[in-house]
Amino acid sequence: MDRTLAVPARGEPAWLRLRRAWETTTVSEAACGRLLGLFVLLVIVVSAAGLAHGAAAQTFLLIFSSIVIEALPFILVGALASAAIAVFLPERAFGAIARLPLALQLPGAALGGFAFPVCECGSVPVARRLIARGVHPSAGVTFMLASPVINPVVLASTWVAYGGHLRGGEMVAGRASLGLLAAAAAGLAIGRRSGADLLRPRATQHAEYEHGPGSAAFSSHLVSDFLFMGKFIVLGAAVSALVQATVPQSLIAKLGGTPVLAALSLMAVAYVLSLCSEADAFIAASFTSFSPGAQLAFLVLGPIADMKLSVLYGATFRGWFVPRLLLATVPLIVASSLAFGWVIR
Amino acid sequence: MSVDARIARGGVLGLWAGFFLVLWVSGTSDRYLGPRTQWIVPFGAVVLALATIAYAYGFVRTRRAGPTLTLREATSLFALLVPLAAVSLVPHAALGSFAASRKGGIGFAFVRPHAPAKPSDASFLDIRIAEGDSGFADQAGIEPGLSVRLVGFVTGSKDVPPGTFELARFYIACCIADAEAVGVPVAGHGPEPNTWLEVEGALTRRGKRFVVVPDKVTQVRAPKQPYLSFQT
Repeated sequence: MDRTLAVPARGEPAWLRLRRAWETTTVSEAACGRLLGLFVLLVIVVSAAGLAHGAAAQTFLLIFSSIVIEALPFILVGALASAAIAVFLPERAFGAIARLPLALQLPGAALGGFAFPVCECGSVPVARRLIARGVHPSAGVTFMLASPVINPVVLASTWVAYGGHLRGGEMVAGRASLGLLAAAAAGLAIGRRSGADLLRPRATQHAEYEHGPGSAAFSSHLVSDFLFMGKFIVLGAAVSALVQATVPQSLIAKLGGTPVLAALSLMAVAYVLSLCSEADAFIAASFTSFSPGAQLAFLVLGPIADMKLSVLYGATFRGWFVPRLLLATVPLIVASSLAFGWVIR
Repeated sequence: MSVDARIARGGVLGLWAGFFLVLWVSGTSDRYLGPRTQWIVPFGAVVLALATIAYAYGFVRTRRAGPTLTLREATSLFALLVPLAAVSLVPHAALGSFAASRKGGIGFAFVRPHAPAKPSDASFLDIRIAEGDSGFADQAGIEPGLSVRLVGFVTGSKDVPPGTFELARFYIACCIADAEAVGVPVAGHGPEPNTWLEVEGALTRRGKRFVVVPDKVTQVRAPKQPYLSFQT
């Protein structure tokens, strides 16, 4: 490996020097080959020693790999849309959107979810690109949080999971309206700053896009976004799988003694499970010991914040984003889900 | 000599494209995904392959030197290889009794599958729903005395009536992360957890639960598709 560029400042803390070295040290072909060989050797040793064959390890590996397999194509869809926005949409289009009053941008962004039917993983790179190109941060965040809740595929699966006419209409109406409300509230609470204050700058190498013919720039943007988001999905999936393989689901489910605790318990379950919003209604419907209001809290929070998303948000936005997102949405979701439960009882 | 980062990025992208192609061609994606999301695999295979080709084409056309691979980016790219390693470590594994102890123990009152064509075709989910939904039980013809045939694995759960053991299957909607173990008690003493059995017998009521009183219990191999789906 070759050390390049890094000139340590006098009195710089050790961790900063390490970080700088990590970011600037280039990897030689020989070192890259050795690292790849070590990785393959490690996999062979783990396999031969039977370390992956224990029940807990198998459960972890299966859940981990299935979350990644399910989420990565959606990341790819988001990266496709993000690259198309970056390369093919002219600057003047974003200038026109940015000049619109927030009162128009916000509902437009919230309802934009109908036109972008993918899960939460795909909406993050699109929102990042929109904000980076001048769309108001409030509108960008609102779009990101609303699209996984109100897109037609999600609403249809919610209707089916709740037995159609049995309770489907009420849950779909509750999910869509509370999802929109929470997304708009979070957008307003979080997006008051400029895009530069909201977005975390990317490491240099990921920003090195090709400039040239549209197709080359498009594929460069696509691959950079996909690889950037992909590694955080891997990390988030690992955390979620670890919790699922170690903490019994029924343990959390037993916490729901009062309506507020019940809603908070199911929101904790939604946060840990990191389910796709197209599937979570089937799980929510199975929590029959919980009220419909608590189930609605599960359905609304899951697509807004979960373990894998928190890692993805942490990489996309500044460090304060996730705590403020939870502060802006959790009390609103708890209160609204209690009101929902009271109305439909 | 340093590595051009574009080669490393293209390599990782190509590996993922290849992995999705293998999942698609080998038909093994149903070990990770439910029927609702099977389309993800051909979609991912085609789009990832196209993205790899487009990226490689752009690399070949660009004659100037690209960015060099840093330790930071190399770490990120290795992180993307970890799920591929995870799949290669457990190629034929399926969730079993340990996972059932983590991902089960909840009810299914609002999940309403279509009633089975014949009452004797009743599945684990049908029987569990019929326990708490008399309307569904009437519609599906699930009642004491009904002869059923169930294929599942032994869980070792203690949450069953005395003198019974639990036979279960995992149901999934989108992927294994949303899997839920749905079990039915079987009268008698069960073998070791994770043993796959085919149980034929008649349903009887013990309290709120339906219990299978077996006429015939046969140890069988795990089916090719170990998971059932929440098809409602």
